[in-house]
Amino acid sequence: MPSVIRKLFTPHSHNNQKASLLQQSSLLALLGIYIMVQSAINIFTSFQPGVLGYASYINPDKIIEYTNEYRLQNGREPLVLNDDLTQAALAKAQDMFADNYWAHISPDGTEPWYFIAQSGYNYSHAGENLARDFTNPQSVVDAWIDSPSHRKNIIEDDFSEIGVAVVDGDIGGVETTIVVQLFGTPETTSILSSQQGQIVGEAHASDQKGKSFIGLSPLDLSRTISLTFIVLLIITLAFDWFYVWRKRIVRISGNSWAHLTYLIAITIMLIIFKQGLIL
Amino acid sequence: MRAKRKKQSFIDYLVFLILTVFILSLSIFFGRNHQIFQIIGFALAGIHFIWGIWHHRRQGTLEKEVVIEYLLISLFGAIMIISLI
Repeated sequence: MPSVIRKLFTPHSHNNQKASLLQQSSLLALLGIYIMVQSAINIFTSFQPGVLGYASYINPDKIIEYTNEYRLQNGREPLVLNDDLTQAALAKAQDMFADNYWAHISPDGTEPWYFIAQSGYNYSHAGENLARDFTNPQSVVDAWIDSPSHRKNIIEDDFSEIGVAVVDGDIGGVETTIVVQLFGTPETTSILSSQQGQIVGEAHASDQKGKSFIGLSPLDLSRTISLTFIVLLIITLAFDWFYVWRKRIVRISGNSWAHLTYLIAITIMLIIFKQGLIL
Repeated sequence: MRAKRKKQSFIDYLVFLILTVFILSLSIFFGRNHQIFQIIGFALAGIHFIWGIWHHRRQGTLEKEVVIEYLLISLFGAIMIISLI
């Protein structure tokens, strides 16, 4: 084994019986490099929007299909597609991109019911589900089902109609896909007051393209870099522990098993972290 | 004396392992909630650091170098979770 690599990964008399990569100065340097690389990704994303983004293949029809499948499984009637609700969902998604926000209520206080009313849909009961950064329709619906408040909207007995929109755009410098799902119950009397509406889920807005491929996800890139650094540390700790154990080296140092357990736990967290947000 | 120390060290490690597995299981449930995920990441880093001080103090091996080592490794993990979110 070349001496440089041996010094980096194993304890030796030349590195004070501790792998060079685990020495304070090296850990500090690694931390600095890591922060610089992650910052570079953030800066790059801000100045070059669209280069990094989320690849998605979300078809609004599939969202409706999976939503209705779940309703049927729970003994509910399937929702009927309504063009006005679809237009309202589309308007809501476009508004989020235009005003650069991600919320049920816009920064100027516009509520989801405004878009429903503007579309000409008279409702007695309405709800909105939102999702972003997902890559396929099944994961969107699954995420909503996993969330009690969104699930409640999906299986709400009072809702009879649905509108879904999927729109690609740029929020905070990152290309993304927003899904707006609107639920409604028609009423003969027009109700324009937002207070009479009720958020049942997330609004799903779509530009009806239903398909986009924007590029490499910043999350995946960030995750890969993190995993590279953490695996390097885990390998070094494992080598270091093995040499200390085999050569019965006595030294003042942290508990390698505790470090390894901690870093493995962080690795698992990095892997299980789910892409996609719902509101 | 050495056997007692070894036993104590094993118990300490077991405590750390149980805490880590508990915190990790929370992250599985809250994988979609990014705020809670971030808090869990910080909690894990905090447990690693505090456990390190506690363990080495019990063992009588608490030195400045050891504290810095735990601090840096804890910080590394916490920053990785923040950068992901």
